[in-house]
Amino acid sequence: MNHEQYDSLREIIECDNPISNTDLAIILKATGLSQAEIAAMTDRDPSTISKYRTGLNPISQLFSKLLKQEIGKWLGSSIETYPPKTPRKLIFDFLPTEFNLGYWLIQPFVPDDIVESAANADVVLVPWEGFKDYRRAVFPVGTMEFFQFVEKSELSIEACISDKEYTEIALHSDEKRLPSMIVTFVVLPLVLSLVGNYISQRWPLEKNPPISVSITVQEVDGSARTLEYKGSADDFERIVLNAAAFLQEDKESKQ
Amino acid sequence: MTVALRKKTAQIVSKFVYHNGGVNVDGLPNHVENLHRLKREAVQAGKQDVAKEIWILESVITVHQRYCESYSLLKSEKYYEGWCLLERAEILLNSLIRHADDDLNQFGLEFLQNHIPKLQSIFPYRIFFSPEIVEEELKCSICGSVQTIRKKCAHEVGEIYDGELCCRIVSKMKILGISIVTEPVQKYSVGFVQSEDGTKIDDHDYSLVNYLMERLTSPYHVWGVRWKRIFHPHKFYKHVHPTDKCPCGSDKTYRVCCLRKPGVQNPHCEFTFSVPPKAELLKTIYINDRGERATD
Repeated sequence: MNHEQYDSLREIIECDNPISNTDLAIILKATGLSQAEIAAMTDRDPSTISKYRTGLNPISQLFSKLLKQEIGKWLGSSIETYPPKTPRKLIFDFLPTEFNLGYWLIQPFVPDDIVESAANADVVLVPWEGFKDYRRAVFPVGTMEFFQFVEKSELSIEACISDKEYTEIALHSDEKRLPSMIVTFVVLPLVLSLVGNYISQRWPLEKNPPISVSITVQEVDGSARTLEYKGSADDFERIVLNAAAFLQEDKESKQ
Repeated sequence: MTVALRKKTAQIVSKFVYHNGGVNVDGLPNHVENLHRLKREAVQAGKQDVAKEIWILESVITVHQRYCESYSLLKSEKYYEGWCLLERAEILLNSLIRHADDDLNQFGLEFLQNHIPKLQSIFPYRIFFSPEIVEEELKCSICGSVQTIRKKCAHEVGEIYDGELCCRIVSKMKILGISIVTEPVQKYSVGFVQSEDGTKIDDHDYSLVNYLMERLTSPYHVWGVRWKRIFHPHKFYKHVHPTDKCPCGSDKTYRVCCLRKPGVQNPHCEFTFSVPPKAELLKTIYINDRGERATD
């Protein structure tokens, strides 16, 4: 294939018009692909390709679209980022958990004078336990700033840790880790909005940074589900709100 | 007073640009000393706003100095030193942008905001060794008080007090381990190999950085970079048999893959320059799968 043939191919696949039998002939000649190979790419019978080519059968819009996609892949992308950035995986779990507020309030690192305020707070921050066999409960770096941020809002916040035992852990990669928290279902939309505002305020120069957060949503009866999210900041609020809506529907259907 | 200082700082910054990044700019040492003195006086008089303004102006000059020194280091092929200084410029710039007003162009900050990441993107560093640190005690850099989740001082991290940036100082810590990462918080933590006698071996490929530095005559000339794939002429792949794996890196054979196309499709870094380099430097350089270089 020479450059002119390559340019013609690019023009065919990038044009909005459906592929004609002349275009198909150009594709076959330029790529050197056989009718059988085109048939395999597009999940058609080779005889169908032959009929398309000779004009005996009109080329369907579906075939045209599929062929353009396949030839585009075969040609390879002309513009891409390099080194190839591995697309950030979205990790999202929304599963029942036994680690509700009741579990955390009886932990030895939670002093008695905090138990009542934690039980009544809208947002309760909980630590990571057993991180790499480190004996103490730790919070991700920046937890203090998040605590301060929420304190200034209309929501009340508490943390399941004494001042003396409070430690932060700074980890390796550039993922923005938010502290794990327990909230009630009622305040969840407000909390999500607050988290979104916090991210844009804390990292104003970063477009759509990767974040990870764990939010446990607790019901009045003590049952709880944990939302584990690892993905882009832009998708966070949308995905988690959809999960919350699902939870609400699930509850209503059971009533 | 600060209006006059701003104007003077903007003049100094334009001298950086005019001198093509030369750090011995006329009037710079005097202006910096003047800023330090005025900031001390403002702090003593309790004028926090004025002290903050002067911090901004000092930081503007420091960011440009670091950027220019980094450029000089890269020109001298001291790549890792240049990389580290570039990171320090980036960190200060991020603290500064938060406080600078919308008129960034007056101090050339928008230029730095665009070009520092571009320059970092053409470095070959992909593996970093990053520590996992437990911060057991944190103190405020302004008042020195210990910070806990409920007992914090009134100073906010990132704000300016007494003409200084507030941050947290880790006064007690424990290192849990070192991780190998690709997107680190600390960019200086590049992985290098060491020889038996302890000498650092730097076998990174700096050809992109070199290519750019050979063609830039000033750190303040606007340039761009775009990654794409282009066809490398088949004549540079005569050593590859049609039944061998395609040199483009796909799993197909050469015959089935790129031999049918105008060339071997390989990643290509395309630079654009606002000030064109000399004509003889404007050539496409091809590097084949053996690392051999050629121009067309």
